[in-house]
Amino acid sequence: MKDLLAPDVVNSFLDVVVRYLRSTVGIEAVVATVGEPEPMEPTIAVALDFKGDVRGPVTWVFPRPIALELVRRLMCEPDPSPEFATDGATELANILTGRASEVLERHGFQCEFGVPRLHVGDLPTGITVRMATANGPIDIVLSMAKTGRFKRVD
Amino acid sequence: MDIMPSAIIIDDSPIMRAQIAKLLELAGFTVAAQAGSADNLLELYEQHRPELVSLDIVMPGRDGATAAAELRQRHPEAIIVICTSLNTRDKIDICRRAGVKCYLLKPFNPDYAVSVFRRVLNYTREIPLPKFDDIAGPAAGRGTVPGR
Repeated sequence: MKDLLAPDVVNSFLDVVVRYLRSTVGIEAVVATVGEPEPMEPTIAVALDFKGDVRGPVTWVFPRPIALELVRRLMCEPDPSPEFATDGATELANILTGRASEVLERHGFQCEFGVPRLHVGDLPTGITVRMATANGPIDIVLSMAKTGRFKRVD
Repeated sequence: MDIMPSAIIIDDSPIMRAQIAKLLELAGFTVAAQAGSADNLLELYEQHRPELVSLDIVMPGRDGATAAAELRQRHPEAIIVICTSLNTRDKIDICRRAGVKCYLLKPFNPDYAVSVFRRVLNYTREIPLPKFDDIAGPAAGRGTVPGR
């Protein structure tokens, strides 16, 4: 069985996500469930693969309105075309992963992540978190597992 | 007649390139070129000789930290502003060793980003730039993207 991230690391990761959802797209999010979420309306899923002391993807599932909100803010475009939603979701996933990866470093994990990629199909297994927002739920699947070379010192 | 200073933008996100282009123009630059990867950074730099290079780190192909080191090795006069969401110490160290002057963290506070670009502009006009740590420190992370 994979050695998934410990609860304190996950909680710190999610704290950063909440903070940067607020500052990046002006959205208040709270953790609603941890576990298997209900399927949601048409969404965009973006995965970024970690390597190093933790390995595997973090997958973000955003409602289109949230992805478009980032586009609206970055491009100062009041009514962005829906075709930009994928770019918005990809960049939002990139920003949130980048900022939340600081948590992994603070917990002693040396790791980096790759270029965002669109995820198609069933979500991977892992720690699945649903965040409730006024613009629809955001799902995060943390599939990263600690690699054998990491020895945590508490 | 004054010639506006120029910049090139390397970022794989089209919406980030659009935002950075707007901020650079507000800071007084013209954007000479944009690209979605750093694979042709040297060629772009040698073609346009910009006063500033805005460079992301995590991109398809060559990563921005490696590209920054290569560019500065060939052109030590190149002024690079890293624009990234990645704030891990090792990447900052690679960029610092490469001689990168500024490290801007996404999401940007637009006013702060413009002020950094203007300071770079002043630097090219022989006014000293603040120390790297002034920009790579907590100030860089305090930015928010304001609402409409």
